[in-house]
Order: sequence, then structure tokens, then C-alpha cells
Amino acid sequence: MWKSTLRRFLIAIPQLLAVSLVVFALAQFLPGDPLQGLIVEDGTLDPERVHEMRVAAGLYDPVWQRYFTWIGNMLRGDFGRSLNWRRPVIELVGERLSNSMLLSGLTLIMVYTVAVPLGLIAGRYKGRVAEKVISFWNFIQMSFPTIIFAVILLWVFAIILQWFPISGSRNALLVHQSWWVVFRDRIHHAMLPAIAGAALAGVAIVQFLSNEVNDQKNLEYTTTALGKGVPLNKVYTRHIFRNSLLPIASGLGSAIVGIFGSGVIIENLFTFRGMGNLFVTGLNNQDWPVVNFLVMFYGALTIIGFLISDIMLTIFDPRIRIK
Amino acid sequence: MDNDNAKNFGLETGTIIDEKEFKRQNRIPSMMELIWKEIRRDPFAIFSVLMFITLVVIAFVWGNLIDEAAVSRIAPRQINLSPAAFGSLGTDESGRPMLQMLIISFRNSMQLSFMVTVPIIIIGTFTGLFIGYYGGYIDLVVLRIIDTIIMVPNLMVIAFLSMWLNNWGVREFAMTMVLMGWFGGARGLRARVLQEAAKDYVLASKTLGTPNIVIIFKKIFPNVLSFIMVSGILTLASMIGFEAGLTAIGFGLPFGVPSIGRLISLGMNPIVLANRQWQWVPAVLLIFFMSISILGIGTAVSRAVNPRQRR
Repeated sequence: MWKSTLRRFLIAIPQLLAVSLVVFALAQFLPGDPLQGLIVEDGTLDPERVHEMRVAAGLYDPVWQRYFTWIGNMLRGDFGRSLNWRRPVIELVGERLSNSMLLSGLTLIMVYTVAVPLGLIAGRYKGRVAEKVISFWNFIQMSFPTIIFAVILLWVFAIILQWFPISGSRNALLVHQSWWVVFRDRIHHAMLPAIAGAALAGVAIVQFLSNEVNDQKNLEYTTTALGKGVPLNKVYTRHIFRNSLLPIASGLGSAIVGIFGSGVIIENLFTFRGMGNLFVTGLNNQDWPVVNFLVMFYGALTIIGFLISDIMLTIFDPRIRIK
Repeated sequence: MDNDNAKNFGLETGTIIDEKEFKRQNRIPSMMELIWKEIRRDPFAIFSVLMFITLVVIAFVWGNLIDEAAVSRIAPRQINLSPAAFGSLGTDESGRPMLQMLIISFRNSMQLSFMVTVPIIIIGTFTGLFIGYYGGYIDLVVLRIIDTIIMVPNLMVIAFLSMWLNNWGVREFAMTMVLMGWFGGARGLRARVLQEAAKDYVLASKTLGTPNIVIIFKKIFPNVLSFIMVSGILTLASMIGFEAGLTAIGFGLPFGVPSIGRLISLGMNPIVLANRQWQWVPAVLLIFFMSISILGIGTAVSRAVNPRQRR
């Protein structure tokens, strides 16, 4: 197991390097440079001074040298400064990361507490009313593109019922309050985007589990257990559900990756101030240090997430370990 | 009529029946026949097909009959009129009639979805077939490339290209979506072809000296066609939503092009959301019915090609 994990890890490194190359190259081809905003803003700036600043920022260095400087800085933990906010990238990301993690956590909880039971029920009662209702709902949900779902959620829960705030990620007026009040407020703000994300991620899980449980029903071990006289409920909870849930449990890593990825669109639809929002704002402002860092962050997250999934699968499923 | 089987084999009458007649009776039904049979059996699938045809006709016939220049003229005197005040579906924030704008937007979105989906299917099919069949180094290299491209976010490529290219129009956007969208299907197909290439009939064909190209297109392709069809239908359904999502956060179609995504992104504005439902509800319903009809057809097709799912 350790060998295969190590090998996957070693494969991941050139992959990340390739991504960094692509990202760096993309940023290079764009018109303008990091200092341009400054110059346009302040027309009185002396051209000599601009030249000096460019030299100081290393903008006249050869491309490869700039690339290695960038990579080297990143490895040392120096991720540059945001051009738009004029602050270190790591500070900005740190602020957003907690929001994004809260949102992803809520989404994950919703996915696993709602979608998993629904899938199990649909699989167990195939052909009955319960399964038909769940399948129908799942189909409807699948037909809603995320944005439509977001619009409807906003309309129903934020405008008609006014249960949740329409945008933002926290109430700025809550200062000098206990941490619990602040935390509750943040959860309150994250609720709607989390529901949208959970709906998006849950559809596949419900469908997968429903098919999986239904398939397991006819396998030999089920027949054996039933033949031995194990009660039907026990057969489901002890055998079928366990086997069907294996891929879901080990899919945790890739689920996190998926939720972070879908956050880019969802956070912007709900103006939730997380990393996805930061990414889009960065793109709109041509804030390349921020964008580059986030791309590398998402890339590393993807690799680590899938790695975790693989490792968990080998832990849960002895068959893979033996191979 | 007596026993059909016996008659087919000419056992009953003692004569060998006509070869053509034999083939006609024992023919394996083609994919299209299976799909049609499955659709005919399921009322929801029939409903989906009819709805899909209606919507496509609305988009491409009605949409092209509308005089776009006249409709999209800004009319300051009739801004934001409700359906009650204006008739039909009311007017938008520039005073243009909503109904006509909706149809034009729908046509543009549909056109874009087809423009993106068709090349994705073609490229995905070729790549999937070749890397799945030849395997080895080609497979390894192409997969690594795909893995790397997947990690570069779509948004970044779109942002980059829209700044880099001078005229960012519908065609450029569609090309970017194709560029960033082909590998999902190719990857799935590769896995299917890999399974298929390990089967005995492929080995038999190879032994008999059939050229690789012939094996790929005449032997393997028909067997994975079902997979291609289902994934193509799902791509089409997701493209409509994808366009809407990207346009809503500012990385979709250029600003002047009316599209469903544009209408919905205007609806995301809290004031419009709360007070002017006529400006976004029709667009939401249209997308919803479009995806329901496509997915309805998709489930029927996947049932037809996958015997395990058949009822």
C-alpha cells in the first residue's frame, strides 16, 4: 500500500509542475504587467521611475528566470502580493479559506446526511412508492442547472420567506459579540449556498447508492445470509449497506475536491466571500499573483483529495490491498 | 401459425426457406429500433421527445422569424413594464419586449449548446477510440495531458482568451468550451474501449489480419456507440446550464449577445428577483423544460442500450 501511495505521490509532482507552467505561460501572454494599474492611476509618475520599478520587480528578466523565481518563492512560502488589494496573497487567502471551509463542511454534512439515506432507501425499496418519489425528486434536481436552483433558492428562502440573507458571508455589524453569535451568523449566511452545493453533489450519490443497493440484493452473499435465517433488516444494515457505502465513504477526498471546485460558481452566485469568489474577482482584476496561487492551490487540493480517496479505499477494501 | 422457430429453420415443411426471409426474421434489431421501442413504451419519454421537438422548433423557427434589430431597439418610455401593463410577457430593463427577447435568447443558447456539444462528441470519440485501442505509451501520454488540463480552471482559460483575442464573440466562446470540455467524454470512452479491446472478437479480428483502423471503426465503434450517445445527450443538457452559470458570473457570452444566461443573471439582482418576476421566471422555466426533455430522452436511450436497466 505504501509503495503505491508513494508512487502516486511522485507522479503528482510533475503534474503540478506542468500546471504551474501552463498557468505561468497564460499569465505571460496577457497584455499589461503588474505595474500598469499603478501607472494609469497616477499619470504624473515619471517614466524613469516606472522603468526603475519594473527593473526592481524583475519584469525585464528572461521568462525562464521569472518562472524559476516564482516557483522558488512559492516553495519558500512567499506567494507574492495581490496587485489589487496590495496585501500578501497568503493573508487574503487565509481570510477566505475559513469561509470556504465552513461552506464546504456544511455542504459535506448535508450531502452525507441527506443524500446517503435517500439513496439507501431508494435502493432498498426499488419499485415501491418511496423509491419512485425519491427517483422523481432526484430527476427534477438533476434537471435544474445549478444557477436555476440558486435563483429559486434565493427567491423562496431569501425574498419570500426571508429566512436567510440574500448575499454575503457574515454580518459586519456583529463586533464584540461572543464567538457563538458570530459563528451562528456565519452558518446562517452559508446555509443557502451550501444547500445549492449539496443538491449538486447529492444527485450522483443518490443515483449511485440506489443502483448499488439494488444490485447487491441479488448477489450470492445476500441469498446466503437470508437462507441462514438472518433477519431482513440485519441483512441490509450489516451486509448490503456496508458494501454499498464503501465507495461513498472512500469518495470523501474526491467529494471535497468537487465541492471546492463547484464553489467557484456557487460562491459567486450567492456573493459568498470564499476562495471561489476571490478567484473570480482576481480574474476580473487581472490580479495574477492571486489567480496563480489559487490555481496551484486547487491543483494541489485535487491531487491530495484523490490521493486520500485512493488510500481510504485500500484501507476499507481488503481486496485492493491484496492485489 | 404454428411454431415460429421450427418454421424459420425449415423443419416443419422440410424445405429450406429463402435466405433473405431467414435473415429478415432473425435479424438483430438495430440500435435505433431499440431506442424507438423503448421511447414508445414510456409515456414520459414520448412527452420528452415531443417537448424537445417543440422547443427546438420554437428556438430555430420562431427565433429566426423575429426581426432582431427591431426588437432589440431600446425604448426608454416602456422600461420594466409588467405583463399586465404591456401585454404578452412585459418588457425588460431597456424597454424591449420580453417575449421576443426570450425567444432570441433561447435560440442563441440552444445554438451555442449544439455548437459546443457536436465537436466535443466528435473529438472525444476519436481520441477515446484511439487511445483506448492502442493503449501503451499513447494512452499514458494523452491521459497525463488530460489530467493536467483538467487542473487548469475553465474560468482562467476563458478569462485569458477573452482578454487575448480581440473580438470575443459567440464562436470564440464556443471554441473555448470545446477546448476545455472534450476530455471528460474522451476519458470515459477510453475506459469503455479498453474493456472492449480485451474481448475475444477483437483478438479474432486481429488474428485474421484485419487492419487496426477497420477494427476500431467497424468492430469496436458500433459496440461503444451507445455509450457515446448517452454521454453526448448528457453533455448537451449540461451545456445549457453551464452557459447560464458562466454568463451569470461574467465569463460567458459577450455582453451584447442575448442569452438565457444573461436573462437569468439579470434575475439574480435582488430587486429584479423580488419585484419583476416576469423578467426571469420564463427563462427559468424554459431551461427547466429543456433539460427535463433532454434528460427524459437520455434515460430512455440509456435504458435501450443497457439491458440491465430495462424494466
